[in-house]
Amino acid sequence: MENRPKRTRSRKRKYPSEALAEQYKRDRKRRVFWRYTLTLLLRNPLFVIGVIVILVMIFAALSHPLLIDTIWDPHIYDPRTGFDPDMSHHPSKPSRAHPLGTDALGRDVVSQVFYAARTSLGVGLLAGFTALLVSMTIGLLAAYYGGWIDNILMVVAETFLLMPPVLITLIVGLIIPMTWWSMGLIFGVLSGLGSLAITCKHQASTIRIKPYVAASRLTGAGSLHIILKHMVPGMLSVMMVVIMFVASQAMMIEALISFYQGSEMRLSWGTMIYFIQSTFFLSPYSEQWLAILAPALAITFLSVAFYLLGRAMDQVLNQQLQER
Amino acid sequence: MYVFLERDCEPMIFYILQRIVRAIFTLFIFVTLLFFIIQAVPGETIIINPPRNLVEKQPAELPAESTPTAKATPTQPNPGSSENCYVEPLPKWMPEEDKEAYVRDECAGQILEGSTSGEQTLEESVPVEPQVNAQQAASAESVWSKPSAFQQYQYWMQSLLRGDLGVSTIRRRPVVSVLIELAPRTLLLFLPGALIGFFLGLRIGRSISWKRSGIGEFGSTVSGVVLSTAFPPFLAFVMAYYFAYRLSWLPRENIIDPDFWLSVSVTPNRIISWLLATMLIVVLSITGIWYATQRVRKRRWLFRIAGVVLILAITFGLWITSGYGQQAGDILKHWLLPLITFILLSFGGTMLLMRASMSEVLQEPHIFTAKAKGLPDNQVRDRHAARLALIPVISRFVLELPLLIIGGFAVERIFFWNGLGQFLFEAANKNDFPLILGIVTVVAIVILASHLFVDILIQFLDPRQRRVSQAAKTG
Repeated sequence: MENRPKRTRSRKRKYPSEALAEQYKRDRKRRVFWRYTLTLLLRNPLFVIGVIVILVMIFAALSHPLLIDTIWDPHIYDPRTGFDPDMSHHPSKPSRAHPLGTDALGRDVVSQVFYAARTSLGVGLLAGFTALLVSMTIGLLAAYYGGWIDNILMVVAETFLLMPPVLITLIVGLIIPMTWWSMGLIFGVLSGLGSLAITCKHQASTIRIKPYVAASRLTGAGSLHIILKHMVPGMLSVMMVVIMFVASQAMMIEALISFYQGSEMRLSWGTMIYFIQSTFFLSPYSEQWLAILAPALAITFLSVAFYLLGRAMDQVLNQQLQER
Repeated sequence: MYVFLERDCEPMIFYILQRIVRAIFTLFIFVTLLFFIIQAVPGETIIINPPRNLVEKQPAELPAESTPTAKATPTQPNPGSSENCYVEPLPKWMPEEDKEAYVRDECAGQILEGSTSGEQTLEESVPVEPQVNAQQAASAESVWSKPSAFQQYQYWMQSLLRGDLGVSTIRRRPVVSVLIELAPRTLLLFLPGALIGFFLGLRIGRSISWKRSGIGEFGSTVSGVVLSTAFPPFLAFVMAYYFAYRLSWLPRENIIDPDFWLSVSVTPNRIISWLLATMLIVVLSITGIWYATQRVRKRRWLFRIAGVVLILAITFGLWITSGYGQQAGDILKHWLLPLITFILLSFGGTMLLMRASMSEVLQEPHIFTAKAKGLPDNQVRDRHAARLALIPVISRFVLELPLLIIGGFAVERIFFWNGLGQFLFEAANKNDFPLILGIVTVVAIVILASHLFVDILIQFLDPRQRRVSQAAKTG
């Protein structure tokens, strides 16, 4: 019993070589950093609420085709052409078959809200992503290379500052009927070229003068390496905050365009509000507060969710960056 | 160690001049970019005609009736076929009979509009565009050739420098005159709305972050978030439903009620301009009274109330005795509902920002010092905290100005307030490119001016932001 050998396993892990050991340690530190950040984010109530709302919206958008395939009869519940012959009148009050009622053409409101979620989500996310890409490219190029590239790019950015994406997208959307992805692209490119590029450049130029960038250059790192490994991660937190606001604005503008266009090209929450508003006073049955509140609240909630995500990331990531 | 001194700052005037020159350069680039965008519009190409006074110098090369700007040739009454009316240049490829039919329809429509529209009596009389014989316009196209791109650019710049933005196709008048007609109405809605919303947001945000009461903070945060992200047409609809439809306190739409305007010879636009001027004078004089009574020790509030009452009494008295009091009241009654909606839309964002930035400033050491010195609470709040907290709020307000403008346009559209926004939507629906370009240019100039103003204002508000001269940087 006594002479059982003691556990002599060393605490030190064995690495194949010294260089790889450094690499592993650095990777582990980075992983811990991101895991810690994620934990902080998940403890932030604003972030959790925002994520939950967006997940519910995504779930609604994804479940619509499934519901049409399984429970809902496509002849009754189709968001564009459905009609329920069993109801005595259209528009109808909420009932068991139609929880939010039907509109003046006899189409189910719940089905329309679910179906239209994909347009708004798509526009918001695509615009945010495009804006991130464009503004990061311009801001990084301007801040890293400086000189005449910086001057030219900043003149371009200041010019596009005068073309607010909200106004230009609204006008273009009213003149030319657009699909959701072209709208998101236009909004993203315009907002990425304008004020976002300037913000991005300022952020990048504060990182560029930090000593670790100079150290990296002294050890012979290329410009691409410095941009991708040192500058992009430092800027990502600030940019994510702004991108969330871009996403919420893009979604709002898409709803405005479909409200004012009144066309059925894309079924969107704006179109629904327009249609129900225009038939609101037609008959005593048509005062559909629930049916009009659903898309309006959906727009507000999605917008608030993007806003909350932005605020939460602002709080957590800024604190993290200061600690680092 | 270098000690920073006030004299090391560059003189403010250098910075302001530099900023103005840069703004003008940006405007030039913007106009050039706009030209290329117009050239790239798919479908029907928009061709920029030479400015009107240029045509008078050049016509030697072309026959009289084939002048590129058909609108510039003087009117020649032609009793035979079609009437005198303005017809846009028609494309070359259009068959002759189609051209004739188009011209006939256009002229008939214009005659109907001109004879029956009530707008002419109500609105300002503007110089009517010189009209042209319709047949001339149609035949001009057969000889007329498209100017080169460089020439068009030249024409574009020349006409912009002369303040000529082309002719609106839905109003059939020069765009500048349409804009001058519409601008006061939009200003009447936008200026008070944006300013009241901004100051309301500032005051509420300041007091919330100062008091830090739980339920009030939560309630105002939620209402601010919901109001600032509300869908503008829906909010306007709810307001219209309760105040106009259910309670019928306020009129639902339009600027005026025509019943009040039948007997007077003055136009609504003139009354609106006078109202704007009155508001400006009243606000300025009340501010003056506020600062003049700053030094009064005893019964300050008495002086202030007396002054405000006096100013308001004089204003109302002047309006009532002017004979247009009823008309002004009519406009104000129609103005109230859009204004309240616009304020509701605009104040939430400012309130949230002010709250956040004020809570950050309150944790800084200089606030602690000020409190420790025994300064009164409101002085710490207003002079030490709020002044510093104002800077991010103002710069953010200017950055989000386009969104606010769009919100105002949406409100105008819902309440049929015939301003720039209402006409922007109408122009976009009817493909009136000159009017759209005019409105975009106006918005761009407003944004440019506000950026300029704020950049200069921040220099005054925050001494830390003042630009350090080269000597201080190196020394």
